[in-house]
Amino acid sequence: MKKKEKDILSTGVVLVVFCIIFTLISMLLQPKYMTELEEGSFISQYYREAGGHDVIFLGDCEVYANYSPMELYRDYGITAYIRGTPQQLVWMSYYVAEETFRYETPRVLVFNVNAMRYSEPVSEAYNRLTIDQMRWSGSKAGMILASMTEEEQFLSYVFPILRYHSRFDQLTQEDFTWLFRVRDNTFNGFHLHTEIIPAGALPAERVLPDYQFGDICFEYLDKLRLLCGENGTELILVKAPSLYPYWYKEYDAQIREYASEYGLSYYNFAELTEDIGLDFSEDTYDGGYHLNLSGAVKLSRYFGSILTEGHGLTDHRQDPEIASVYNEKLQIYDKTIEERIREQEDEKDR
Amino acid sequence: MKRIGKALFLWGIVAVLTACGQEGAPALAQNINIGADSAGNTAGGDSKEASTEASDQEPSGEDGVFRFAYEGAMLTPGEPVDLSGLPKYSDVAEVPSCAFGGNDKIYNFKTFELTAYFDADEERIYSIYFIDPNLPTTEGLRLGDTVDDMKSFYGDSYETEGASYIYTRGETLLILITNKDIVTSIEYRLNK
Repeated sequence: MKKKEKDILSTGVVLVVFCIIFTLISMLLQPKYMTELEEGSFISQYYREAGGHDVIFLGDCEVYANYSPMELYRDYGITAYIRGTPQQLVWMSYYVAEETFRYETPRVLVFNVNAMRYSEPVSEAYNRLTIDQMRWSGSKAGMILASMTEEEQFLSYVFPILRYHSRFDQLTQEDFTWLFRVRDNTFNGFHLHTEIIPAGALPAERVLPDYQFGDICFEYLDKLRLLCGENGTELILVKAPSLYPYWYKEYDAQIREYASEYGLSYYNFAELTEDIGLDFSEDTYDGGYHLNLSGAVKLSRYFGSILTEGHGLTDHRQDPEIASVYNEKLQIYDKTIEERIREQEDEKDR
Repeated sequence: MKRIGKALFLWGIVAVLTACGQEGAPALAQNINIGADSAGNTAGGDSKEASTEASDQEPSGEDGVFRFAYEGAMLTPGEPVDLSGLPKYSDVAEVPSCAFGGNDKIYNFKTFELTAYFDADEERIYSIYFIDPNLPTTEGLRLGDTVDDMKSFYGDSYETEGASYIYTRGETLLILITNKDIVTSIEYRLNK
């Protein structure tokens, strides 16, 4: 081998070794979101499940806590996945939708409108929970650029080691255990809570200086609507039935007007709690901010009926291939619920 | 090879310098509060009814901060919560903190709400939000008063954000929201 060829070969080897070590260190230092802040791993759990869903939910905690795709399948044979993440802002939902359409074309996309109240990024911490574990694509780059706070740098998302280098002395067993894999801690995106903390006192409804949603929120809602239109997907707007933070009538009016203007369906479930059968003394795990399992079952049954009767979704329970997958999921889901309830009862007895 | 070595070395330095620029970024876990694990708990109280009488203690602003004087107690955003001088609250709610990690506690005194945050396990006052239109600020402003009344009490040194008028004293704010020149919201708040 000539000297020049040797040089090229050794240079290549050095570069490859460097890249491997750099990538490994970077992966090690990134938070794994498996036992702490597990909501940060929701976005990545989708990729193994991508494809074949009739319904995709987008939005913040008001989707992943309040709707159970398992119940939608059990009662109506609807295949659904929740691509919700904490504090998912409107532009984030748009980019998650854009990414989702690369994997599948759902018949219905359900967008929870709670995030319309935020026209600025809330914090880097929340950004990270949605962005860090998203696969690289133009959608991820777009989301980063749209979401960054002033203190953040794009490069720190490209090279997470720039952001997390100081975690060297905070590494735990979790960082090694989950270095190369992700554990599912949702059921098609549904975050299961079986605890009950009844709704009690709530803060007074604050007067706001301005109830008008920001232009940027409408801009991205427009983009989401057009994206759905291009893909032949129906966009449905929903507001989850939380007691707090307040969903002001001025907010509601703007969404109603928007839905009416573009012929979209909008369901404000906060106004339908009686019809749904929700009882906030037992159907919430945190005093009325989110539903627990019993609340999510009620809401999913109610919404499933709307999706089937009003939006023509197909019952897949007679499809052997789908039934086989979902029956297995349901078994795990039901077993997990039993275990959680047993653990809670054991804890009470102690 | 030497060139590559140099390039990698330089890249390393750039990376470290860039990373150091991130030190000021918020600590991640401390700033996240996903839903409230405990919320909406209530605690009753009936020993002393809340009223709308302002205190005659040291007036607000003498030491460069806004203070809310109420029935002999002086409430200052940023200072520790001392409930001993106040009437018993009627309810307390816990909500995810807007400005800090963890939960805020919101004490309802019927005429106003006091929001407390936790600083190293110590409860401190974040804000005081007026509910009762008869409750005056330390200087005498009430819900329903006009913008002219507001200016006569607090002067013209304010900032505006839409329909909000914001007065600043030290680390404290007095935030007044108006609708058609009528004060519809009064809140003392820590500037954080």
